[in-house]
Amino acid sequence: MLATLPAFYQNLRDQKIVLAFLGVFSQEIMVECRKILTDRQNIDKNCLLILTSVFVELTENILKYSEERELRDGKRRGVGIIVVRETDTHFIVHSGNRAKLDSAKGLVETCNNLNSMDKDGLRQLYRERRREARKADAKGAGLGLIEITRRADGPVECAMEPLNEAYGFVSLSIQISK
Amino acid sequence: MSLYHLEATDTTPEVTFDDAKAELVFDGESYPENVTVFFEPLLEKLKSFLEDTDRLTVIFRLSYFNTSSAKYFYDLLSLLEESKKLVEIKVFWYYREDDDVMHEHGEDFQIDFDLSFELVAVSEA
Repeated sequence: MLATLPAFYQNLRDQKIVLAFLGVFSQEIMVECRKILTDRQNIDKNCLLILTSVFVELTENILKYSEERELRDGKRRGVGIIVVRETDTHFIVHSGNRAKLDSAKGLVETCNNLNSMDKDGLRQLYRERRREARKADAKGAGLGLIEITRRADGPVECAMEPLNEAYGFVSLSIQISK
Repeated sequence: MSLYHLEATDTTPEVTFDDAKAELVFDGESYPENVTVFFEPLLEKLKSFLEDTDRLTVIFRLSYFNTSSAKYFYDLLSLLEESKKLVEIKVFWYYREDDDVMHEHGEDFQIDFDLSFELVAVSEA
C-alpha cells in the first residue's frame, strides 16, 4: 500500500472526490460528513440542500439495511461506502453496501420503475407512499428512494453484483445539478 | 399550563409547545437517528392537548427534514385534521423564498390535508 498510496491519492484527486467514507457508519459520522458538504462555498443553496438530503437518505440506508454489520457501542451498525465527487456541472453521490440477493434485485427493479416516471408522477407516488407508510410499517416503504429520484438530475443508476448465493453488492449513483 | 420545550440539536429541530398560547413551533432541521423516540412523546402530548383546547396554531420553520421525519409530520397533521371539528387549527409553513424543495414539501402537505394551511415565503436576511 505504501508504494501505491501516491497513485491512489492522485487517482482520487483526479476524480475530484469531495468526500469518501468506507467503514462502520454512525449518526455522528453522518452529521460530520453532512457538515463538510453543507460548508461548501460558492455553491447554490438549493443544490447543497438536495446534495445533503440525498447524502443523508443513502447513509441512513447503509446504517439500517446493510447486511455487513459490525458491533459498535453496543449496536450492530451498517458497513458500506459513500463517495461524493464533483464535475463542473454536477455533484455525484455513490453509495454501496452488501444486501441480500433478493432485496438487491428488488432494489434494481424499483430503481428502474422510478426512473421511468416523470417528476410529477414521482411527487404523486411520494405522497401516496407517505400516506400508506404508517399502516404498512415496512421499514421506510421506499420513501427515501422516491425522494432521491425526485431530486436527481437524470436517472438513478443502480447495479447489483452477486457476491455468493445469498448476498450481492448494491451500488447507487445519483447526479445532482450544480 | 405547561411548556414543552426541546433545544435544537444537530439532527433535531427546536420544539416549543406552549399550552397557554396554544402554539406548537418547529424550528430547524429534522433527521433524528431514532424518529420514534423523538416524535412519539410529542404526538402523545399533542393528542392530549387537542382533547382540551378549542384552538391550536402549528408553525413549521424547517430548513430540512428527512423522509422518516416526513412520515411523522404526516401523522402530526393527521391528528390535527381529525380534531378540526372541535378545535380551530391553523398551520403555517415557512420556507426560504427561493427554496424550491421546502416550498414543494409545504405544498404536498397542504394538498394532503383539509386544514387551514398557509405557505409563507421568507426572504433571506
